[in-house]
Amino acid sequence: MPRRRITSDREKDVEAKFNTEEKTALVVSAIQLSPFQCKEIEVVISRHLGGKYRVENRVDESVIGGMYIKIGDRVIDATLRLKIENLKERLLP
Amino acid sequence: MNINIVQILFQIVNFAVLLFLLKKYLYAPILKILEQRAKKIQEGLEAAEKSIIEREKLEQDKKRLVIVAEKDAHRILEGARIRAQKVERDLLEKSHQEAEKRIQKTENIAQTRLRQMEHELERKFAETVVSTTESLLKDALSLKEQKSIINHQIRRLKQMKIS
Repeated sequence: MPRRRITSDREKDVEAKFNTEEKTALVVSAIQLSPFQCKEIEVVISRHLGGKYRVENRVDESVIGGMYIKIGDRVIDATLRLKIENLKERLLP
Repeated sequence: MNINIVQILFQIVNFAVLLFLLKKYLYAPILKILEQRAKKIQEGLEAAEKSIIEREKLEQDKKRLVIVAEKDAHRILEGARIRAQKVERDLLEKSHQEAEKRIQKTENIAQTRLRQMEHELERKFAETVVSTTESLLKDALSLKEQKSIINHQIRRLKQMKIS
């Protein structure tokens, strides 16, 4: 069943208060994230989306640098791999 | 000297008869033959004159025909020369067009091949740039820099609006 999108801060607060189920955010990076970094990411995601999130860090050297975050069906790709791919697309005719 | 009248008369009659006979049976036919011969000679002369005139006429006709034939031959030769020139021009033009077409075709092929090579070169260049950048980044990024990048991205994430 699709979730209703939360738009206002008030709705996010309500969601955070009543939705205590912990959700997972997959973060792929070239190096192992420190616990502090994981915590920071969890806080930021929770603040933006509401609810409680736990970061699952996966190390993959092919991303080269930066990180790839997947939360449900949302994807934030901030890896150097993507930037290089974009550069390749721009260079190719 | 005795003159025998009878003898003279007889001689006269005899001569007259002879003359009459000669005139009737010898002179007239000879004259007729002579006239016929003269007539034949005249006819022969006339025929000769006629044949000379005919021959002159024939000569003139021959000359005229030769002139006409020469003119015809000249005209035919001129026509053939003009046709040959036209055929030569047509062939030259056709071969020129063929050559132009072949040059154009070769040029198009060369252009296409050049474009393909350019694209291939650009692709290889892009791939080289990407693979070099990848290798360089993998080798050059220290742990500290990796952490720094991630920290920078976390800061940006804080400023982002995720919905």
